[in-house]
Amino acid sequence: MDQLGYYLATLVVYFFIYNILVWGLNIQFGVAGILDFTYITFFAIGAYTAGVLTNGPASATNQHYILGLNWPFLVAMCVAAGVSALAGLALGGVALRRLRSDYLAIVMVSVGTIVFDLIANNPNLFNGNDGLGGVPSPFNDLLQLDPNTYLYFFVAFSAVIMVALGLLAHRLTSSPLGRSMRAIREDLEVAEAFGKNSTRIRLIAMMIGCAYAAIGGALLIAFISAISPSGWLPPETFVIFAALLIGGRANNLGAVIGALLIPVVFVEATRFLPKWPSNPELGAALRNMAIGGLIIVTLWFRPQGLFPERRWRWKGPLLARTHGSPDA
Amino acid sequence: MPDSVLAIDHVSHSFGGLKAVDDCSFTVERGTITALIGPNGAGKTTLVNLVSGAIACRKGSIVFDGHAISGRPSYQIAQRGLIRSFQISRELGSLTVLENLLVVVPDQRGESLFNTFFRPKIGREETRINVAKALGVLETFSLYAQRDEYAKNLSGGQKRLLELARAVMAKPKLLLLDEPMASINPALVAQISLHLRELRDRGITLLMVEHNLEAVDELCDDVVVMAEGRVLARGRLSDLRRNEQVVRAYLGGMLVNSAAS
Amino acid sequence: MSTLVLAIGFGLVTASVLAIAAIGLTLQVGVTNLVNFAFADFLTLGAYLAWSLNSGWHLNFWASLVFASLAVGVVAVAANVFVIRPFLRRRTPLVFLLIVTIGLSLILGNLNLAIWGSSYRSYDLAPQQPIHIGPLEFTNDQLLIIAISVAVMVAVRLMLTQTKLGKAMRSMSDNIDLARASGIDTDRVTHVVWMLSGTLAGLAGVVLALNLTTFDTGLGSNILFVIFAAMILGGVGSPSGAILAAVVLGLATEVSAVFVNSGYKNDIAFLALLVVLMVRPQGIVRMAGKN
Repeated sequence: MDQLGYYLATLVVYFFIYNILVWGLNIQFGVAGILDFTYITFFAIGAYTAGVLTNGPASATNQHYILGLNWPFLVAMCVAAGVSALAGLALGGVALRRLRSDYLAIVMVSVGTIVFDLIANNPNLFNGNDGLGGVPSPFNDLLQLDPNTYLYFFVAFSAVIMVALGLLAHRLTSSPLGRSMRAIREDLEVAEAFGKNSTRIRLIAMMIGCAYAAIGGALLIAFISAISPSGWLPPETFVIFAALLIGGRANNLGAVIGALLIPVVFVEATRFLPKWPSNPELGAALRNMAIGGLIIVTLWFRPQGLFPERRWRWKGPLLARTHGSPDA
Repeated sequence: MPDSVLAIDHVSHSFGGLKAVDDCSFTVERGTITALIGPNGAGKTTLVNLVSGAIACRKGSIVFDGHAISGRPSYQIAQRGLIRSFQISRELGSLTVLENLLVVVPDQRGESLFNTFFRPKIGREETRINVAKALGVLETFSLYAQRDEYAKNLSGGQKRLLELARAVMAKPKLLLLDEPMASINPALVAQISLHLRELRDRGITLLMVEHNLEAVDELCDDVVVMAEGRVLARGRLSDLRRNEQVVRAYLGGMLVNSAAS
Repeated sequence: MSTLVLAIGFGLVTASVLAIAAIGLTLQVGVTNLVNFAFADFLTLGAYLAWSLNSGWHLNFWASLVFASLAVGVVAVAANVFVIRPFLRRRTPLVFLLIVTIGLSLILGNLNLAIWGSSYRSYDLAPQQPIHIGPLEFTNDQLLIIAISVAVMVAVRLMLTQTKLGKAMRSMSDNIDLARASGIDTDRVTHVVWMLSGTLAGLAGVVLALNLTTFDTGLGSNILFVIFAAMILGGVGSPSGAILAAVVLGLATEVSAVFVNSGYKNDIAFLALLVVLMVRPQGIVRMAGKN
C-alpha cells in the first residue's frame, strides 16, 4: 500500500471513531438536551481503561500504570464502556438534579478538570503526562499480520463496531424511550407533569453517551497504541459539539456528516498548511477560531444543522381508529 | 358515604413573605366537575401547582385517591393518575401533534432501557395501539388533520385543544385544568364543555380553575371560591351568587352581571 | 510553618485577583442572566494587551494596565452587541446561548494565540523589594494588587448603592421584567454592565499576569472555573458574596498547595463548588439558580 493509501485508510478509521463520538454526544445533547461540556473526559476514561486492561504488566515496560492484565481487546472495550457509563452515572447523579444548564455545564467541566488533574499528576495511575503507550493491536497476536494488512483489518473491524453502534443509536432515538428524552429536552417540567422521571431518563442518556465515548476512546488507543493528556484537552469536546451542531443534531445521519466535515475534512485538511515560522501555533489557532465562527454562524443561519431532526411519522399498519376514548 | 378522590387539608404556601395559599382545605368528590374560582391573586394557580407537585407542599397535607401526595415529586403524582393542564399552553413544540399524545401515555413498557435495546417489538406494538387511540382522541378534538404537524406550528386555539387532548390521553383519574377556556372563542368553549362532560361521564373527576362563569355555571356541579389564599365559600354557583362575601370578594361586578343576564 | 505563612500571603493576593474577576462576572451574570464562557479570554486579552503596550511600545506599566482594561471592556460590549444580543433578541434557548459563548471563547482565545503566540511573556517592571507585614511577606507589586482589589470593591459597592445606575443594575438582577416595567433603560444598563465586567476582567488578567510574573495564553482558562466557583459560592449577582467567596477560595487553593501536590490547587475550589451545589443549591448568599 502506498503512502496515500495508508494515509486515507488512517483517515477512514478516524472518521469511524469520530462517528461513534458524535453519536454518543448526540444521544446526550441532541436527543436528551444535556449540555455535557466535558464529554471528552469519558473518551479518555474509555481509552485509559482499555489501555491498562490490554497492556501487559507495567513492570515489563518503563511506564507506570495500574492493572496491565493482557485482556483481549473486545472484553477490555466492553469493560471500558461500563466504567465510563458508571462515571457518567456518578457525575450525572451529582449534576443532573434540576440544575440549570449553565450550572450543569460548569459542574461537569469542573469534574472533568479534576479527573484530568488526577491523571496528569498521578504518574502511577496511567503514566501521567508522558501518556500511556505500547498498547497492543487488537487480535494481532492471533493474526500476526504485517502493518499494512493489519490496517485493512482494523478498518473493517472498526467499521463493524461503528455500524453496530449506529444501529443501536437509531433504535434508541426512534423508540418510545427516545421520544421521552426529546420531551424532557423540550420541556422538563411538562414531561414530569406527565409522569416522566426526568432525572432517571437523563441519567440513562448520559450513561449511554458515555459508553459511546469510551468505545471511541478504546478504538483510538488500540489504533495508535498510545494516548496522553495532551490528546484530550477540554477544547476537544467542542470540536465534537461543532460536528454535531453543523451536521444536524438529533439526527444520526447528520452526526455522520458532521463527523466527516469537521474533525476529518476540516481539521485534517488544514493540517497541511505550512507553519508560520515565528508562530507555529498559528495554524491550530486559526483552525479553532474558524470552528468557533462556524458554530456561531451555524446557530444563526441554520440552527437545526445541515440535516435537521427527522419528523416522526407512524409508518406501520394502522388499526381502525378507536373513537373518543383512550380507554376503549 | 361520599367518595373524595382529592382531599386538601390545611395547605399553606408562601413566596418569601407573601402568603399565596393560607390554610386551605376542601375535598373533591369522585366523578364530579368542580370549579375553583376567585379573583386574580387568590392563590388558585399556586394551589394547582401544589396539588400537582410543581411546587413542593410543605405545610398541610394532600391526599389523592387514598395516597398522600404532598411533598412528592410531580412525576410520581402524575403516575398515580393526577394529570394537569397548563394555563398557558405548553405544547412540546419540536414533537409532532401525534407524538405529543404518544409520549404522555403512562406505563409504557417500550420506555424501558432493556426493552428498547433487546425487545424493540414491545415498543413498536405499544406504539401501534397508542397511535390508534391517539388518532381517535385527535379526531374528537378536531386535530386529526394536524397529527403530523409540529406542535409549535399550531394556532393558539389548536394549542389549547392539544393541551386538553394530551391530558385526556394520559389516562387521568383526576384532571386538574388551569383555565381551560382561557382565550378561546365561544364556539370552541361549547365544544370543550362537551368534551369535559364526556370525560366526567366516563368516570374522570375534573377540578378546573376558571374565570368564564357561564361555562362554570353550565358545567360544574360544585364551585369552590378562593380569595386571598383561603377558601371563602362552597356550593352551587346559583347559591354563591347570593352570598354577600363572595360577591364582594370577586369584585362584585362579575357575579352581579352574570345574574342579571 | 513558614511555608504555611507564605501560602497565606499568596492566598491573599490570589484572593484579590479572584475578587476583581468574580465581581465583574457576578455583576454581568446577575444582570444578563447568561453565564459567559468567554470571560476567561477577556482576562487573557487584557494581560496580553497590557504586555504589548508595556513591553512592545514601552508604555509605563500602570498606564498599560488602565488602557488594556478599558480596551477589554470595549471588546466585551462589542461581543454583546454583535454576537450575544442578536441571539437574545431571537429568543434562542439557553443551551444554545451558552454554546454561542463557547464559540466566542474559541474565537477570542485563539485570537490571543494567533496574535501573540505561545511563548511565555513578562512585563517590563522595576525590580521588586520584599515588604514585611507581620509574619507575611509581599513584594510591592503584590501589595498594589491587594490595594487595587480593595479599591475596586469599594468603588463597585459605592456605585451599586449610591448611583442610579447601580440601583438599576440591582433591580435588573432581581427581576428584569419588573425593572423594565418601572422604566429602567435595560439596554443601556446592559451595555454598562458588559463594559464594567469586561474592564474588570481585563484588569484581573493584568494583575494575575503580574502576580504570576510569566504568563501564556492559558492564563484565563486556567482560572476561569475557579472564578465560576467564586461566583456560585457567593451567590450570583452578589458582589459582596463574590468577595467573600474569593477570599475563601483564594486562601483555600494556596494553602492546599502546602499539603497536596500543587497540580490539584484548583480542584479544591471545584470540590467546594460541588459540595455547595449538592447541599445547598441556592448558593451561600443568594439564588444561584434563578431563571
